[in-house]
Amino acid sequence: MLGKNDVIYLYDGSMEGLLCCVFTAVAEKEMPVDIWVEEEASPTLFDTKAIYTDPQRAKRVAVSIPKKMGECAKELVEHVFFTSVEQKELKILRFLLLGYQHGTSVCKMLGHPDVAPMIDAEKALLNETHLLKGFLRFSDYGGTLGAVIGPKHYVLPFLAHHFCTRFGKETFMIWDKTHKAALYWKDGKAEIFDMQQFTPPNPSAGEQQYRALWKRFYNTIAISERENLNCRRTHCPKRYWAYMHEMQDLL
Amino acid sequence: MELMRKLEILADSAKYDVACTSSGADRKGNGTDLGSCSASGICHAFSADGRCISLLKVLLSNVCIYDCSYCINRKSNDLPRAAFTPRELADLTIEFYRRNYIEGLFLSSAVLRDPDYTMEQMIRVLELLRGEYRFRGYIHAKTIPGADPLLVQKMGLLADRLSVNIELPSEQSLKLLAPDKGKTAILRPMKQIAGAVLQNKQELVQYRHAPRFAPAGQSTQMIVGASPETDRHIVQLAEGLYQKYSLKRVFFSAYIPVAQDSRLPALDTPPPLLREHRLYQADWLLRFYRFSAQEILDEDTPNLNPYVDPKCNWAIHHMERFPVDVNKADYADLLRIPGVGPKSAKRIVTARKSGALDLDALKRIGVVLKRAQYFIQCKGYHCTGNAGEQVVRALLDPAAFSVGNEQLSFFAAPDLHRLVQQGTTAIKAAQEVQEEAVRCLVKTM
Repeated sequence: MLGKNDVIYLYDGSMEGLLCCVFTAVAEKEMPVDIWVEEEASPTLFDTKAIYTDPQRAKRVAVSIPKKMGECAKELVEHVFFTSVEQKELKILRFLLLGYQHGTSVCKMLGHPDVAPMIDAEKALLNETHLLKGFLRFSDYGGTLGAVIGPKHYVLPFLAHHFCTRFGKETFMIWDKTHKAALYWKDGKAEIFDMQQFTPPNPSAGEQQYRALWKRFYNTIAISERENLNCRRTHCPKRYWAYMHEMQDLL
Repeated sequence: MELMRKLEILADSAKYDVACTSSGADRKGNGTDLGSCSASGICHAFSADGRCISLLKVLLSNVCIYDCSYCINRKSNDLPRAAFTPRELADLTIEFYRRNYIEGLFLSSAVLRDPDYTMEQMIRVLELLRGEYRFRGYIHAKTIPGADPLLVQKMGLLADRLSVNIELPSEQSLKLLAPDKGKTAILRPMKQIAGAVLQNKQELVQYRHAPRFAPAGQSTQMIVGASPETDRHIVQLAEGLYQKYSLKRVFFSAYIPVAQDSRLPALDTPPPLLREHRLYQADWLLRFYRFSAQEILDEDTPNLNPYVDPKCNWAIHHMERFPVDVNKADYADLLRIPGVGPKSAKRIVTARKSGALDLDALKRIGVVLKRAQYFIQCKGYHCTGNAGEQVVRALLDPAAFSVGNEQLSFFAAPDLHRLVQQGTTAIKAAQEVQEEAVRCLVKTM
């Protein structure tokens, strides 16, 4: 490495911005100690370098990834970018630098210290997506379905396909409280947009009746002789409970 | 009767049915009708007993003409009785489904009047859902032993999965405890379903739009601990069912005493949960680890060891098969290593193509080195051969000795419960039994 090794990159938080960080690291033969989103940066003793988001540079990097290391690397990077794991930017950079060296085999180097954390991060995202396909709860607000979720990772784009195909004829909205974004589905069209705040309307009597029926079912179906609260918490972590009608009272 | 009360009665009567999985069917949404199925299944909630809730699991009715002694719904039991109308249940399913509470419906029933009448009522619910409501979600339906094969056929064309409960692990126990249900009444529909699924597969090859018969196959369940069969008998029975009737799943259910009856365990007998857990582990060895029933339990060992999982137990008794070289061994041999599962074995096979793996790499891949370290060699590491006691201690299952708040966990092994009943403290009992288990296992190595 010829460039500096004690610098922190600052970027705008977009995928394009991150790809420009990769461009700079390669061009300057430089390995930053970390990559931060500029808006969230805190004071530091390290030198910082603001990386300008240049769509053309970003595109060059974006094109090079599937070309040099295959579609699976492209998908892995996209997935990890949607997670909230710590230092995801640095993980992506390390992985891509390794990929430029090793080519298509990089996705198969599952035991490598720069690959395994990517696989783990992707797993965390896909796991949470899978859990929320089950744990998400809709309420019927006069014919339109509404749900609030509070996921760790940005799973909305991954949930979209599942719910839009399952509830084709319905109109629904899912608000992601963590990432302040909403998915809206109506007349066969899906849209994801920023949404800072959403207060669900008061549930109607009919809606309350179904929630009560569901709660009664939930409480009845457990076998008391087998009670195992640890097992329940392992399978359904507490951070999801606030959004599930049958669990809210237990918090 | 109001709906709330009905739901409570009919869910309570259904709760001892084990299967709540929604896996095995892959049906995409079509953009207009309600619902889809995902092959891996989706859990929507977990009840206080830690079991997954995927389906609205209810009986259509709990009014029964039979008197099976182990069953909560037997005719002689004084229990509130109720029945859904088909419309009521179909509406409830749809409204729960729209709110994403469930993946679909699990429909079973006590035997009203006779098996055929019961099946017709159940089919009516499924016809409403699939016909009038165009419901594409998951449906698991239980066929009633003794029903007309034509009704079984009809049900299979509406449901994703069918199941016939084998109830008890042997014909003698069945005769003794469920005199109204014969072995043939259970095995005949099972055979019919297996045949119909196979035939349907061939039809689908010929023309894509042939109606689908139970695309998620069939499953069964049996009660463990109400009758005297050994684990070896049960594991062999499960293996036979997988091979003969191509079942998707065999479920086990630890017997929970529901009746005072001299033919059954006393009412204060705790459900044999640890035994049930070991049987499921053995079942996984059959389905995902390429073990045969004979390898899991041979003529000299009638029962699974309560203190170690059956795979570790096998390894302890076959030390001559180790160490396995993870950089060379084939997939089947990797699966035999304690601490390596199907996922990590597959990853090892992929990862070693781009260079020999060392301990750090194995750890990153997800191998549990705590157990695996005694059974492997890899780049820069070769396990030492003479660590008998250490190996056993690393493999013991802590759950079998679990003590929380100075009390035994309900999961703890039966020997611990015995000692505690005789006055030993829970912690001391756990220590004693653990040491004894280590001694026994080391001796057999």
